[in-house]
Amino acid sequence: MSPLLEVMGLNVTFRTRDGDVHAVRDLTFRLGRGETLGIVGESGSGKSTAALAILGLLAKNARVTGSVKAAGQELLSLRERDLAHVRGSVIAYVPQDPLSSLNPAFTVGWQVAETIWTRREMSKEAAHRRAVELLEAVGIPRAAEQARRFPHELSGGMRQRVVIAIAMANDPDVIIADEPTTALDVTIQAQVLEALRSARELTGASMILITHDLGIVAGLADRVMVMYAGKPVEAGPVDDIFFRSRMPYTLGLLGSLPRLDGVGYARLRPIPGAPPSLVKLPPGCPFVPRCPVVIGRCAEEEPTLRLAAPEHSSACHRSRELAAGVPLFGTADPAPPAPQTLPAVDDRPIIGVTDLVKHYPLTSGRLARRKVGNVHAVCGVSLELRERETLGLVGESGCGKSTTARSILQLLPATSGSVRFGDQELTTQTRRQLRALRQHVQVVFQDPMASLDPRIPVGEIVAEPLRVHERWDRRTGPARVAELFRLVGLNPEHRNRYPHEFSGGQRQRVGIARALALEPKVLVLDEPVSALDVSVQAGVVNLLEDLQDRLGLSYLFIAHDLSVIRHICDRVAVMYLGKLVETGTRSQVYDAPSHPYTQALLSAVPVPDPQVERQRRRILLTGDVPSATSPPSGCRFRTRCWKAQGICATEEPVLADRGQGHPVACHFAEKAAVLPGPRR
Amino acid sequence: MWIYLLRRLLAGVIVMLVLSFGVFILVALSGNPLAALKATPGVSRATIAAAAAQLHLNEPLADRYWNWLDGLLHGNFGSSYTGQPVGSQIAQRLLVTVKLVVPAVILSVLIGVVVGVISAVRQYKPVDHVSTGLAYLFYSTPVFVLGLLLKDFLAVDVNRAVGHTVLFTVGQSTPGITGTWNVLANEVQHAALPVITLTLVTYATWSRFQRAAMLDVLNADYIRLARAKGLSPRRVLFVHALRNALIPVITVVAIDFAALIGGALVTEIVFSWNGMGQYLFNGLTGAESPDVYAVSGWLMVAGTAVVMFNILADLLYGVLDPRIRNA
Repeated sequence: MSPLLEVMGLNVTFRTRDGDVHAVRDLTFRLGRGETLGIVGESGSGKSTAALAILGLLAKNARVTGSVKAAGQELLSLRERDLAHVRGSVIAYVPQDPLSSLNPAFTVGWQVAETIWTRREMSKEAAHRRAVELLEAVGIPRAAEQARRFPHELSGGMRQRVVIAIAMANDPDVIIADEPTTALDVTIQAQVLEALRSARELTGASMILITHDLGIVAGLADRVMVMYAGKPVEAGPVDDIFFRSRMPYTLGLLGSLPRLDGVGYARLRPIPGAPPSLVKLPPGCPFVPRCPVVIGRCAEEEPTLRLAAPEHSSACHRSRELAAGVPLFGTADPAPPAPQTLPAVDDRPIIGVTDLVKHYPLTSGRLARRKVGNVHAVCGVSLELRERETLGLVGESGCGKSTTARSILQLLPATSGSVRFGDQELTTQTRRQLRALRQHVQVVFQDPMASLDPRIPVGEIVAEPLRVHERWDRRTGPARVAELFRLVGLNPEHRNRYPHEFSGGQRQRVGIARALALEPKVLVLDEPVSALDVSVQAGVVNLLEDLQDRLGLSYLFIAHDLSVIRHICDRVAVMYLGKLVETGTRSQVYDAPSHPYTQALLSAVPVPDPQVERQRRRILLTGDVPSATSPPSGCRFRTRCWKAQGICATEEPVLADRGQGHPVACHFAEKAAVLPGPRR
Repeated sequence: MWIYLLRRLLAGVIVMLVLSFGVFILVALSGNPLAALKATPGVSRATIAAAAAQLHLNEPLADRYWNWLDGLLHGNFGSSYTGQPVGSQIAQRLLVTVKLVVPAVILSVLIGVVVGVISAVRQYKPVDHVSTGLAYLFYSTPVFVLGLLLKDFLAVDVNRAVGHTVLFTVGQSTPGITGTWNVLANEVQHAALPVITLTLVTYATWSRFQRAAMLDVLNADYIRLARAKGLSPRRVLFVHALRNALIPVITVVAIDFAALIGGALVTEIVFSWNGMGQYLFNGLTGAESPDVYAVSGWLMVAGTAVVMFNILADLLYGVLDPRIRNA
């Protein structure tokens, strides 16, 4: 019997002004019935392009060669009109961004129903009833009512479910899901992955799951294919890939991940460098510049995917030796020598926040703006950051963590509450006084491309704070900038280049160098690594740790990635809908989470370990985060909480130690081990 | 919704009041309608004073504006300096302009949308290059050149080929024709050339808007998903793409149409049509110009059209784009 989907020697080339971009090179795989194949790779690895090429959905400037056979039928030679019969019913597609992928002009129910009645002998009414059933099947509450809404009226998680329902509509044999949860918060991601699982079960379809998240693959895939520079570099059963990888890139990727379930908090092992440009690939293996076990042959001959073990193939000249255990990435990024003597740690907090409140006015009306309410972004947050400490502020999007950061930085005026730097109250300072104080508290933003001026050379960007604070000296200034470049691992000779000439990781290093120019005591890091690929992210995390040791910095580290927070932070504060729900040391929060929200968050994070994922039981929260305009009475989490009782609606739980050893804002706080214990 | 509409209408009234006041004052101060009379030798001071009194030129400007506005509120547009009632004059002129503009707009919408969509779907193919070239050609050719070329080549050749006058080059109709069908046919023959002229200029811009909007939409993710759903190429194009690509174009059409109600001045002059454009032109440059009452009357009609169609465009936008609807 022929496989459901067979891809042979697929090549995709885009013609661009800079030359031909070889986005996918020599992709070959088979997908059997009922099987889930995970395709993993960093941005630019060609995984999404491959999916679109299989469906014939690429832009016109793409040249696709090779063969794609679905149930024995060749697809690449089909005309658009005939391809339409294959799409949806043989191969269905779940796109990455559900907001832009749904037509803004039609209701979501209509868009699901349309998929059915245009393809089958079915009345529009019957199709609509079926659409509502499908929306129910993917977990949309009150589906009949929601079906009448437009895409922009639904939340991201709901939209993603609509798109999954569309994929299920014509009972496909294969579902290709392209980064289906990338834009979603972790608790919503867990819900959507559940919806994908049920879609797989209800349709009996095979699945290709494309993602950069090794944790998702570990939990859902039977087989995994790793792509790098447009090519598959390793493929095999999921356990083989995670536990017996034969490819340095895969090993590097796994080693560079901060773990939620790791033993201790060992230093990350980043893969040096950045992925190659796909325009002019040199001969040989594209991983050569980053690979720790290069031999002479690697630069001359590009290895092809070959069987390294039964069912397990890898594209590496040394895959056989790797099985015997060649040491890899061991000390690829050694920690710097021990720091100079730093002054003794002061016990008083360097940043103190008390009852911080930030409301945004909500206005309406077109001619005369009227205030109709408040967005309660931050409601009474109290924090303390001590010297040389890293405090992690974690929560899902919209919980107010960035607003908190900006209020602390005095970039936003607080509605009420107090923010202190040392002994000085910041909220009452004049502009001029604040400017002087800003030297001590600096910030690094999430998106270095957006926060660095594209028209200023990076050397000037780093020098600018010195000039602004009149600390620029014509004789010593350039040397100071060079020193800062070296400090963050950049080449000082590149100071005249512009931000776009750097890779994402390097740009973030420029942002850090700029923040360090004034020798601050505190850095506020607002999602500093979430825009970066994992292999690059590890290097930046290590850099931040080194800088803290060398310069005695204090970090307020804001992130939604619980694994990164666990890795880098000494203490953690969990935020939900403008309030802190749990605070404590890293081990208190991660090993004995006591607020239901913290527990749900931790249980929702996929762990890059297929054995652990198979045994894990998830706490699935229902519904979305309520609107911050009219937050629920009492405990704000009660609308999604499985422990909620009458008292939760009437009495707001204060953040206090209730016998757990650390403060928890829950009437029914109770320790629970949610994370899998350390393996091996 | 109704409150929104009411508020927009109220704002429109205020706009018209401010506009009329400004224009009335500026026009009144920008010249002397009696200059010609004064320059004529042998005209006595008394005659000039009488003329000034007749035209209310001796009254304070504020009073004249107030009297004009008072009349307007009672449905009276006043009399122009030549003594004719502005209201009925404008009504006639408006009818002429509508006969020219409405067919031209309908044709332009049809041609503009079709050409724009084809251009977008066949981007960078010969069809696209040709339609782009033509659009730029028509848009950049001055209207009077275009009109004259049509007169001299199209009309003359067609008429010679047929043997009698099929395409008229001057005026709105031939006087003295009887019978409903004859009158209608005659009017169509007169309207053909000016309508074609106006259509060529107008469709050219609209097709560019349609092409850009369509290209935008065709590259959208939801078009990719519509294809991935297995919809036929035709359904993807007409239901999913065109529906969204029409939204920005409709707004442009509504606003351009409103501007044309004020008259297609050059086209009207080239083909000697007594439309709104010519009325304004005469009011500003005619024998007893500047004619404050004629210009202000024109402004009220043209300005109201602009205000109304702007509101209409916004309402249409809300109907067509659900994202705007509740905002």
